[in-house]
Amino acid sequence: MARTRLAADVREEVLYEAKGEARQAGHGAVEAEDLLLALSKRPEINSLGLDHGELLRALADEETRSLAAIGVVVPQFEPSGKPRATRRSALLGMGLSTSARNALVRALQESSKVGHQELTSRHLLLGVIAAEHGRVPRALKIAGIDIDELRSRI
Amino acid sequence: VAVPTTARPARHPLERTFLLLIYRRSGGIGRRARLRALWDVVLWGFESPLRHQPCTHNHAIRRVDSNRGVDSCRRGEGLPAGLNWGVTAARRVAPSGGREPPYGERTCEQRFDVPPPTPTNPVRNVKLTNGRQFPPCTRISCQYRLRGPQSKNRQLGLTDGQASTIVDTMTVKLPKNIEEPEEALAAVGALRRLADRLEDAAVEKAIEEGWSWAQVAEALGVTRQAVHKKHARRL
Repeated sequence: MARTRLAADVREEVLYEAKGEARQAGHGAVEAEDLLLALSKRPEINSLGLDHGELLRALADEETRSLAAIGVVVPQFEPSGKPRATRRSALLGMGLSTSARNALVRALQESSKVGHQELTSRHLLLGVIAAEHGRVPRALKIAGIDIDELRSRI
Repeated sequence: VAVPTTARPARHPLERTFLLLIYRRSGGIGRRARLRALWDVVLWGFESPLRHQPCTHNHAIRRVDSNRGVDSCRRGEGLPAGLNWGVTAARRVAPSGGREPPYGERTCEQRFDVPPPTPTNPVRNVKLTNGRQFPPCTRISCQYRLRGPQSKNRQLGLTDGQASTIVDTMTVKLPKNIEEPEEALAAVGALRRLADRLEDAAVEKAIEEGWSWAQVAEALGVTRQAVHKKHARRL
């Protein structure tokens, strides 16, 4: 069985961008939402209606709403910008969180389903938005993006 | 003469230990070869019917069947006079009347003059007249020992007398405006991320101000190794 490989742009740009997003957000590891943000910087994904700034606002909004639901008001403070040392993946030089790992697994399944030998950014996006629960679907909902419709367009 | 055992007398804390010895009717571990010459002198000959192990039943008085020389340990039965081995009778003090036991040997009832506990009024809630809380008694046989509702199911000798102190207020109820578990779980995730960010910022500030890793770890309640592993690389 032929092994699916990461496309060059995913390997060298998307994951690198995701690492930067995680670092900026103060995450200890790359999360699924970091992958989504990194993907939205790609022109072929951006053309599907995913805007980086809009997603950032939606993610911040999601966090504020989640905390407000239990009566927590977040003080604004600067994230340190220095990520913690976590278990590192050889791919990134930074840990992959479970949500990101699941997204990658689903992306691999998507690409192998259609018989592709390469995992492209579109496959990765399919893997990221396939999550039923978590920050990504909540943020997409806040941003007013219909996931089913987005999937059909991909 | 059977001695009533319904009310237990005040006992020395070590009496349980002594009684275990008393309840052993012959020897400790088997019969001594040096006393072999005496074996056929005794009533029962070589095969001793007497108990060689201490009795672990929780009762004060033993019955000895003097006809057969067999002792039996039946709860609530008395020890015939003259077969009390001269020890148990001296330790048995009537709960009322007779010799007044020393303060340390008095029961909690005698010491504190409080009503016995009831299921609705457990001992721990009893306030003494001087305002102090009733001190817990840890004596195994004491009826004023702290007991929970499950005390009947506890083993007498192994379980600590202290009842569970888990406080109900530790449980957190979800706010009423949260209707779906998804919202609550999202809040949990958000709180975790917030705590992580806050910890990063706080540790960074502490290290900048010259705190040692040991001090930071102590303040966070984790080991020095843990905090160092988490933050040393990025700081």
